[in-house]
Amino acid sequence: MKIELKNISKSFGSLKANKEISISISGGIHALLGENGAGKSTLVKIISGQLNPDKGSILISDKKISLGSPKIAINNGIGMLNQNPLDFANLSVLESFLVGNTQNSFMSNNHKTKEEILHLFDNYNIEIDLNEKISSFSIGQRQQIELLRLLYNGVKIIILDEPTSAFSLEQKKMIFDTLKKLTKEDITIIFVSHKLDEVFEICDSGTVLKSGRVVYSMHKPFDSDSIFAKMFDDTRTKNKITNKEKRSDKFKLFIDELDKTKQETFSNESLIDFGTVVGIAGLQGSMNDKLVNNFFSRDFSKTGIFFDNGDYIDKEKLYYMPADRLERGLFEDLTLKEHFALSYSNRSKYLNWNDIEIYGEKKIQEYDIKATITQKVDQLSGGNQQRLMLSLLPESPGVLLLEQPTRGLDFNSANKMWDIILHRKKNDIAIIFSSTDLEEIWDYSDIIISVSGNTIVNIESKQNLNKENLARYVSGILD
Amino acid sequence: MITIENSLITVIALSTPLIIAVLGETISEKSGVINLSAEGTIMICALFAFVFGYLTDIAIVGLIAGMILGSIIAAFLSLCDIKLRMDQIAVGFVLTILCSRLSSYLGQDYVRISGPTLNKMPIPLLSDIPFLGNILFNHSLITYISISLIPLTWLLLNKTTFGLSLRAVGENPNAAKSRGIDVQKIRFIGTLIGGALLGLSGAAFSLYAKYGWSEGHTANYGWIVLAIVIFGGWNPFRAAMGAYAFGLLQVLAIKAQSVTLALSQVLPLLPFPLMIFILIFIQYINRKDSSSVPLIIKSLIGGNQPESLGKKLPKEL
Amino acid sequence: MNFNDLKINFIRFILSILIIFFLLLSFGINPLDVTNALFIGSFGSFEKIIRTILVWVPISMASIALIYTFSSGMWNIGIEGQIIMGAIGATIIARSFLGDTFISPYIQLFMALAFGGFWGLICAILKVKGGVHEIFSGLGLDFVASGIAIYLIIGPWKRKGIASTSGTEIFHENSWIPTVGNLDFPIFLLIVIILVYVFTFYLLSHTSFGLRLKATGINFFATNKFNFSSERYIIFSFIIAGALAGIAGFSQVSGSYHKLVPTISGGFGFLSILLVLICSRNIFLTFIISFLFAALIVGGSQLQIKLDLDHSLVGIIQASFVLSWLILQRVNLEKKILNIFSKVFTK
Repeated sequence: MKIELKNISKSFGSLKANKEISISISGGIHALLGENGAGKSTLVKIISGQLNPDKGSILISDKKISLGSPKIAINNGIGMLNQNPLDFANLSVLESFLVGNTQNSFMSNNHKTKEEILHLFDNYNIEIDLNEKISSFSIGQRQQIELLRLLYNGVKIIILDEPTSAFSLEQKKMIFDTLKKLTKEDITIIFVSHKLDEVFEICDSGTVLKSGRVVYSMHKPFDSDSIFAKMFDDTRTKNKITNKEKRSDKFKLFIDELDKTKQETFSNESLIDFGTVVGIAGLQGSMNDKLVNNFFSRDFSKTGIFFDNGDYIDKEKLYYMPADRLERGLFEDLTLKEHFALSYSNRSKYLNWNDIEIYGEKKIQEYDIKATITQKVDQLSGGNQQRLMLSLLPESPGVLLLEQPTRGLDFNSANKMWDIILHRKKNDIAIIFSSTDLEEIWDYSDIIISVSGNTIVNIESKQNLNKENLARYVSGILD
Repeated sequence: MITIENSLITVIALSTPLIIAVLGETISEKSGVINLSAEGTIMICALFAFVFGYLTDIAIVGLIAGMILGSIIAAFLSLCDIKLRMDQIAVGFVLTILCSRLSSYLGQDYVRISGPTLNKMPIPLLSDIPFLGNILFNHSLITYISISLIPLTWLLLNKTTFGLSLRAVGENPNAAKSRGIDVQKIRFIGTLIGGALLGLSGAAFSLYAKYGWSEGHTANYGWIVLAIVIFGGWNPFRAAMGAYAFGLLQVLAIKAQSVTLALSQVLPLLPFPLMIFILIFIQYINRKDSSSVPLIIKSLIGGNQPESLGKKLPKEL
Repeated sequence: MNFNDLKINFIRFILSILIIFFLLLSFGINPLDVTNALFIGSFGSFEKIIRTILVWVPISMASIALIYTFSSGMWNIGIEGQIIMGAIGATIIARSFLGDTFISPYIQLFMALAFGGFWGLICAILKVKGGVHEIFSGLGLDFVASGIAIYLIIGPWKRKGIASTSGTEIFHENSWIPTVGNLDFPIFLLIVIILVYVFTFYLLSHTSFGLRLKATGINFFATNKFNFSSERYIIFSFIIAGALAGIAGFSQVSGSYHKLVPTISGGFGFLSILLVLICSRNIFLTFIISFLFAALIVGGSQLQIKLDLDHSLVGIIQASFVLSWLILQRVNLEKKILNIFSKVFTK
């Protein structure tokens, strides 16, 4: 089934999410690649009818279709698998298939329907008990069931939005087999992903988006180097970096699950100077964030930071900033002032609001937060929430554990952020951060931990690495 | 004569209102809405049903009046939930207090008056069967209704398209919407049906199980309905069992009254906390260590709480 | 609370009252007559004012108690039971050898606090350790407390010769709350409640404890980033709430009834839930509305005498008031009215 996007454009206020995107897919599995903020999710929402583009058109089998309605999209054979399955936990598989689908008001003996569905599952070599509850399946299986449901409803174009983030290897293999079979039946698949290894494995063609535009189109066989270049290339100029003051205190990092495929030149227990910046590089959906979280949760069987004398670091000295700020790091109904008070409250029981206000205003200046101190944090933009979270970290020396510290920030703000972070370097014990931006990792880390998926691929001083290898490690491409 | 036969008849008869209420609330909760006004609704509908029955001297009119009022209260709650996006628990609580007080106020003139009652309607032939016939087929109309509602509720929820859509909405409104279901409408109807049955339950009190009207006539029953629905794991059959179990506790308590005078005032109250503690106990054990719970308990109480229960609808809907 | 909020609350108050008036009219009752009767009934004489205060104190206590639990995100339906247990605690002292000593009220206060706090703690533990929803544990414990009270009243604590639900023996005078003057102005309770108001105001808005409590109620999961535990604060909130509710029970039993009766809580627990639904964490508003509700209750006895209206009308007024307030809040009518006003007055 051929699908063509012509000059799709969409803006949200001043943010141009999609700029004149034109893609032509004649069939097979087509990858949609790009970093966070590149415009993928907007494009996908337009195709599936959830959003109306400002300009542009979509043609299916050379026929123009109307946009902006999910129902029309479904009628045109477009189906989508979200990251979280859109299913019903306490219903059975059969019931989940039938929701919204039955003609009569009394569900007659569904024998025929059951047979059809079982036949479908059989075609893809999946054994299933239709009466089992959806909640008893794993996420991977639920996605699979959803996929088959879409097929049952006659989809011709399926959009998979980062579907494999929660899959085991087994499940991934299963679904990939299914996908390959689908293409043989003239079903087109749009595969949104960050995982280059998966893209290489099953895609026939692909498009790379960056800042709302198409920057690269490709077909099998893929040339990994040029893809890397397009994805990670950045012509921006960086400002100054670290001034390496050697400090006498040292600490050790302990990471239990280290999986090497290359020869180690870095022992995971060697001594690290205070003030070192450790960057954990990984693509979206990898365990880079999780690793940072592991350090915070102090599950010593997995990860730990400890000193030369064998003591583990105190809980109070771990300053953690989670990636999903609003859900796990901030209180949406509290004002900025109250947040400052909370981080201030570690020092004293009594809150002197005047002092707190002064302290807060200072931080707002320092971190360039575009908000007033009396605003509630849910009114702030993502970038400002980010800046706020950073500003809430205590000033005293400790270990900074930052998940994607500059996510959502533009280049200048990101730079400014790093100025502040690095300023602390002189006093802090260590700065451990995760990022999907390899340039950022490269610029600021002293030591780089590379992860791909759920595996730690490498851990090494930057001096011993080069950028190409780094890109390879995080893509899971090893030769 | 106190026989097992008679006791069972009493249990079934006394449990009638509770069965109806529990089934109604189950339907409502399956669609995602907790009707915390149950206590107040049952009480004021008991009054209404009695008054209308008294004025027309036809018990069935009372039953219908009760149902209608129950629907109206539920409709109000539902509109606050769906259109105003208010917290269903808060609104339900206020409604409970309001309706309870209203029932006291409006019912002043009807205290200790005798009104119409629903008589026993033995089913010919079937009621002649020894033991079973007497227990099952020698009841009033409303009891027959309550018993038939049990499988009917199950059928509605599990064998009709409406029931399927209802359950889908209670699980994942977003997903339901993507399947083309009118989420607001379904949720509204679900709450309405629940309310209607709560109203019918109140009527079953004042016109049958506890004749007449007095202040606080149905006190605490509404609360226990909420507990039994959870106890029943949102399954009509299990919920009905829970309601009968409670009825049994009540009958036992009444019998025990004659044994110990000192506790006689307290005993009738005992089933309420007892029921709740069983629920707490079960929840506690279930949470603590899933593996050590004996399978039979798990199958008895393993509940499937509708994922969206008690939550406001997502903003996009 | 800033001036704008004040204006909005004021308008909302007026609108809610208007709705009540309308409601009364639909019942065929003259709202002005009702207002008059209520006013006279609650403020018409010094004795009546004292009675109003005696009702205002436990309602305030219970409301403040609920501010703590609502802050941490909990529905403390068990408050009725906590009040009753507080009353029982106080009664134990009043009936003991300490009952006729002058320190009795002070020990009673302490016992009430302890009993109520303990009762609240049970709900907290069930919630935090067992995942049991506090609505159900609260309900269950309400029933149990009620049952215990009834059992004690007609059992071990029954009056000589009569086992009746009208209550226990009247306490020895030394166990009554300390008062001043011929009319027994309840100075002791007044001091206690003012202290609690001030303390709570201060605690919630000027200490990290209060802020953390609020944060727990907003986002259970984010608290560990700021180095405190949500579960701990939930437990604290229940203990404090229970303790304050217990004091309400003490006020009832030693201030108003001077004996233990089955209906010792007077439904004040649930009434306070209604109150806190509209007052939220606003101490000032709580102060005012609790006075209003108390006046309604005490003045309500006049309704029967003067207008032949049943006391349950008071409950209807209170619940309708709260419902109207909640809906008005959602609909945001006040802003529109303020806009119209300012347009009219700036012409």
